[in-house]
Order: sequence, then structure tokens, then C-alpha cells
Amino acid sequence: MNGQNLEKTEQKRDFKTRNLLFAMIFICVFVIPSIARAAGVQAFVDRKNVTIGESLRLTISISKAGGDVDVSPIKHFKVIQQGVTNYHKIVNGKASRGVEYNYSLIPLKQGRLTIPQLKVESEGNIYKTQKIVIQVSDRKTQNADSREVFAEAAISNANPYEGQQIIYTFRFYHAVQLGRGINFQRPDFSGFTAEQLGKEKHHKTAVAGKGYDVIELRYVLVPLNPGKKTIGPAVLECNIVRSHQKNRSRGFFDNPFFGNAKLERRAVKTEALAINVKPLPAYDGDAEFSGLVGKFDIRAEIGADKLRVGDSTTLSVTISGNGNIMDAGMPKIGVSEAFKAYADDPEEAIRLNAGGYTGKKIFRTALVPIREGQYSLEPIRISYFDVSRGKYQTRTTRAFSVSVSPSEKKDELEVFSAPSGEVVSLKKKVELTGQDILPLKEELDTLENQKSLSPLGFIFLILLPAFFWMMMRAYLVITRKNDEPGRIMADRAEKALKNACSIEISGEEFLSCLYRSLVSAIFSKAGVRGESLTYAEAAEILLSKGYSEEIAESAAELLEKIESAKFSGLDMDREFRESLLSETKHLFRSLS
Amino acid sequence: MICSNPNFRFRAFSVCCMAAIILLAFQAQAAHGTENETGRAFHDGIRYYKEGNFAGAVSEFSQIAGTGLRNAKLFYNLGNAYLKNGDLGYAILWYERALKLGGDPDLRFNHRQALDRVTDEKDSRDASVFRILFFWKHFLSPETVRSGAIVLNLIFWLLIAVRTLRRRKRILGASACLILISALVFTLTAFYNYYEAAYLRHAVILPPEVSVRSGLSDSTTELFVLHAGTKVKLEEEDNDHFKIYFSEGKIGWIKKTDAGLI
Repeated sequence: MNGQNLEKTEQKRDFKTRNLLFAMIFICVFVIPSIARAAGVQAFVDRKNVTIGESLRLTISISKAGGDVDVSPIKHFKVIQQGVTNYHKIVNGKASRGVEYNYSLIPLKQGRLTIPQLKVESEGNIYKTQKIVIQVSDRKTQNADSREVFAEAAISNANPYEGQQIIYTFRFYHAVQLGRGINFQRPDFSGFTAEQLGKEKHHKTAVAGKGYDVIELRYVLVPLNPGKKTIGPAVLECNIVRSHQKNRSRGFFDNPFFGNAKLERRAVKTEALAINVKPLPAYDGDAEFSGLVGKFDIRAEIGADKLRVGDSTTLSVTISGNGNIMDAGMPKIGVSEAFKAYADDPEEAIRLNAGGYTGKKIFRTALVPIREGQYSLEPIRISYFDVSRGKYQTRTTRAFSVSVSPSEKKDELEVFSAPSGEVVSLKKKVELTGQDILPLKEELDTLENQKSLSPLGFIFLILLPAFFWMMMRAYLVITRKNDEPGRIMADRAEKALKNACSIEISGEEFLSCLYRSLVSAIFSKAGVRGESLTYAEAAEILLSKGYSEEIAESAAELLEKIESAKFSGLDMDREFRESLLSETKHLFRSLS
Repeated sequence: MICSNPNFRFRAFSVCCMAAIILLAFQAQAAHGTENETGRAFHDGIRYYKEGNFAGAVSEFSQIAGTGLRNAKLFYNLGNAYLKNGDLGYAILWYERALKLGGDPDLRFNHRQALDRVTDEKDSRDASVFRILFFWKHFLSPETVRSGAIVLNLIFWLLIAVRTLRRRKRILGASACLILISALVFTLTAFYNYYEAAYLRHAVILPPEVSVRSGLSDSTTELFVLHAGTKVKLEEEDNDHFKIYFSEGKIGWIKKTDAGLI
């Protein structure tokens, strides 16, 4: 047992030793290198003294690897991101690499401003940069000599009227050489219409005895509505060329192209400009206000003042001046009803120069006299707001007198024209020249109640003709039945039999009636008309109509008996007459 | 005893007769008075209209229409007065009511003039197909369609009667067939017009602008907006609201006071 315990104790010791060895190897292989590779974060600026409007460069350098930089805590500066740079350095034989995040900071106020600690996240670790204090001084107190670059903005009129055009000028001064990559951010011109006045201008000037190259940009602004407005700061970013060897005289090879210089990114901004836009005063003139603001004039010309009816002439009205000339509308032209006026599209000649929008707008109207006489065209008036005088002005053209004589063509037509082969149609589509409704109904039946046909009434009227037709049809059917030969013969047979029954008639008449009744009865069965029949025909008709041979034979025998008595001339006694009559009646019953 | 007295019966009969005569006289007088009143209002309305007092004309003509008188010319006059008074919704309502009673050319012209001022445009794809297929229904007024059906029907049966009298074997000739088809078309259209008048109700939007909503309260979503003079179909009715159909996909609820039933 003791031997076994000892063996177990040794095994445990070996196990612990092995674990310790693995732990040391893990630390040597993974932990120590990772500690060695831990990122270093630094924040630094290119200078700590700046003036208002100048920028400084903030660089966040993260060694080994990149990361995320949070610049949101910077409140006293406008932050402009300038890009990211990867670097590899060998210092004293030691190689290092990292990433630099560059920002241009433009101070928003003067005084001692602090760039606070900034959070940097790199490879899952959070680092913080150190605080940096920047001394920002007023531009006026700063010695001009110390300013390499600066910018300023100016407005031609800080108290313009609504609609009055003003000039915004941005100037960038630089006393140092600039590399490529100038970036200008236009200020916020909200509340104005803005149009750049040509391309940027370059010139030289001296400020406080120091020479500067100047880049100048100008905009024409037109306030859209009255009130206090602010034009925000304009920002310009540039690259300043810095020589590596400061004492070395500048020569051809100082050009950054040859690598002896480096570029330093800088940003400058102007101050915001406050503008108070005044509303236009209330207009109480008699001419209609044209909406033009500036300084304008009006001129009118007429092509001809002596016309014939049907001829045309052109009335040209030119509005020219400085201001919102593009907004000029067609002025009201007082033309007599003796003229038809056809307005043409206006012609514009407007250019943008140092004074803003200047030019003219020409309105042409074709006038066609339709009646002869002496007419005058009223002076044309235009009312505008004169910004230089601060009040409304009215300009007027001269009046024109136009003499209209009868049409020459009319005379020609009357005197010389002859009908030509081709007839020109004078017809043309009639267009509505006015819009109105037709007048009231004043008839007295307006006060009568208008009854519309009810559905039942409508159905009745629809069915009524059909009903009449059916009635007519029924009548015809009934009346046509009586016209049938069979019916006629049957009637005749009955009538003749009735006559035969009469006791007043003679024997001859009795036999004639009996014969007629029998023949008619047989013909009625055949459906044809007739007066006489042979015995054979009588039997044949009855057989063809489906009567039995017995009836057919008895009918033929009766007919023979009647004919025999009729033509024999024998005197008939009462019994014989009754016997014949009885036989005939019996046959009638058999046939019916 | 009293009733059996012949003198009393004669006297009672006389009194009753007198009372009946007086009552009839009063009724005739009242009717005559109403007629005079209506005539006066009519002439006043015309006078106001001519003087440019369109509101006065509207008032007088409305007074006549309020008596229950149904006459296309009166409704036309009301439409004119409303249109001149700048009330497009009511103008089109009265023109539409007049059109139901008859299609006078003046009425059609003024109705078209009023419709030109309506701002809402209808998606007329389905309506145009219907109009093409049943064009005669839209060209002819219900009254004309009814008259046409009756006349064509009469002509057809007269032809049949003539052929029957002439003992033609074929009663239906080509001309009779043609007239029969026309008569059937007109008769069916007339029946559809009766059905439409009885069961398909339309209304006209009266205020300048009306919100058509998804429900019956003002807090429900506004689906679309209609303007004065727009004609809509009524699909359902609540106590205070109509459910209307304007065009394909445009259905909603409006207040009853915002629409005039045609």
C-alpha cells in the first residue's frame, strides 16, 4: 500500500510540473509577443497658437494597427477629416509601422480651447489620447506677419431690400506656396438665390505690409423674403508646401515634385455674416407694380404709324436695367378695339456682371387694324422699386398715333379681281369666344308638374299593340272559318233540309230541297263547293273521308232514290215523303 | 222620431250640401292662392336673375321646388341660378335632377359648362367601355328611350298586322326583324333606366372640398378629397353618412350633409 501511495504522489508531481511547463511555453509564445505588439496611441497638433479663421492640424497616430477614433467630444472646433495615412519608419535600426488619422480643426471662438481626451478603439482595446490646449487669438491682435493663410468674406450691402441683388465676396489670402488640392466649401446661402459671378480671380495685394496672393470668388445673391438672415462661414482647405531644409534657399528643386518638400494640409474659414433684409414698402401707385426691384427703364417703338386695314405692324416694348430683369412680365398695352394684338415670345439679353443681373427684355406685339380711322396707342407704364432711392418709380413710354386707311386689297378685289379657277374657302372653324350659360326658361309650363311614365304604364303601352294584334288574329280566325267551303256547304245542307221539312212546298220542290241538302252534306264533308253529284262520286267522297262502306252505299242509294223520284214525275204520297225525309235525316246523323 | 221627420231630413241634407259646396269653394280658393303664390315666386325668381341677384333667384326657385313640383325647366332654372351664384355643387345637382326628367339641349349645354368647372377628374376606363358598348343610353334621355321603345314596338306590331292581313306565310320579314331588334334594345334600355332610377343612387358633392374618410368619424383616415360638383355613386347608407364610390379603388365615407341626392 505504501509503495502504491508513493507511486501516485510521484505521478501527481510529474503532472503539475508538466502543466507549469505548458503554461510557461504559452506565456512565452502568445502573451509576451501580444504585449510587445500592443498599440500605442498618440495625439498631436502642428501648432498650439492660431487665430480665428485659421486651422490647425490634429493627428491621431496609432502604432501597429488602425482603429476607430471618436472625435465627437471636440466641441470648440469645426472638425474636417483630412484622410488616413499608413506609415513605416526605421529609427535607429528599429522598424515601426502604424496609421495616422489627420483632421483640420478650425476654432469656433477665441481663448484657451481644449481638445479633450479622445477615445480610440484598436484591436479590441480602448485607448485615450491626452488633452491638448490651443491658444486661439483674435485676428486683429495677431500680427499680420504671422499669418501665412487666411480668408475673409464680405457682402456688398448688409441691409438690402427683398428682391435686391447683393454681391457676396470671398477672398483667400496666402503668403506661402500652395500645392494642389484646394477645396472650397460654399457657405449656406439659404434664404437667397445664389449665382456664382464668373470664375475665381487671382491677384496680389499687401496686408499690413505683407504681400499676399489672393483668390477671390463672388456670388450674386437675391434675398427671397424679408427678415434677419445669416450667411454661414465659407471654408477653404489647401496644402501648404513646406521645405525640409528651412535655411536652404528656394531653388528649382524646392518644388515638391522633386521630393524636397512636404505638403501641410490647412483649412481656413470666414466669419458668418448677418444680413437684415428689409421688406418692400406698401405700394400705392396707380400703375400695376411689375415686381421688379432694381433700376429699370422702358422704351417702346412701333414699326409703322400709317397702316391700311389688314396690314400689320410691330409694337416693341423694351424693359432694360439692373436687377431682377428676368422676372419682368409683359406690360399692359392699351390698344384700341380696332386692332387685333398678337403677342410674341419675349426676347432676353441678360448678363451677370459685377453689378449683378443687367440686361433687357423685349416684348413684341403684332398689331393688325381691322377698322380704318385715327387711333392713339396709350403710353405704356411700368412700376418698379428703385433700391437706390428706396421708393417705387414709374416709367412711361410715349404715346403713339396710328392712322389706318381702308384696305388696298378690298379695292383691288372690287375693281380688278376676277373669279379664278381655284375657289379659296373662307370657311373656318367657329371657336367659342366667350363662356356663359344659356338663359332661364320662362315658359308657363315650367310650373306644371311633369309626370313621367310609370314602369307599369310603360309595360302596358308595350304590350298593348301585341294585344291588339292577337285580337285581330282571333277575329280573323273566327271570320275565316265561316268562309270555308265545307262550312258553307254544311250550312246549305241544313238550310235545304229545313226547307224540305216545310209542309207547304210542292213535291218537286221537296225533292229538290232534299237533293240539295244531301249533295251539300256530302260536299261539306269533302270541303269543296258543288251543286250535283253522281252516286259513284258521292260514295267515293264519303269513303275517302273515312266513312264506312255501309254509309257510303246508303248515301248513294238515297241519292238515287231522290233523283229517280225527281225525274220520274210520280205523285208522292205523304208516307213516301216522310220516308225519304226520315232516311235523309238518318243519313245526316250518320254523317255528322 | 226625429229622424223619421221628413222636414228634418230635408234640412239636414241641405246643410250637408251647403257645407260641401263651401268646403269645395275654400279648397278651390286655396289651390288658386297657392298657384298665384308659385307664379309670383317664379316671376320674382326670373326678375332677380335678370337683375343679377342670383341668391334671390335661388331662394325663389327653391321655394317653388320645395312645394314638390317636378319640372325639368324649373330644375334647369335652379341650376342656372346656383351656377351664377357661384355654388357649383348645387348647380350640378339641379342640372342632374333636370336631366332625369328630360334632355333639353339648353340643359345639356349648361350642364357641360358646369361640368367643365369641376376639378375632380374621374378615372374613366371602366366608364368609357360601358359608354362605348351602350352608347345610346348616354346619348338619349330616359324619356326619349321610353318613347322610342313604345314607338318602335308599335311599328313592329303594325308591320306584323299588315303581313297577317295580307296572309303572308312569313310574318317576320327583314324590316320587321330589324325593327324588332331595335324595339328590344330600346325596351331593355328603358327597363334598365327604371332599374337605375329605383336602385342605383347617385349624389353630387356640395361643399367646395370634402374629405372622404375610411370610417364614420372625423378622426378616421382621410383617404382622398373630392370637390364641389363631383358625381359619386352611393353604395351604403348610415344614419349620418353615405358610403360613396368615386372610381376604381376610391371608396369611402362622407357626411350626408356633404352630398345632394340626385
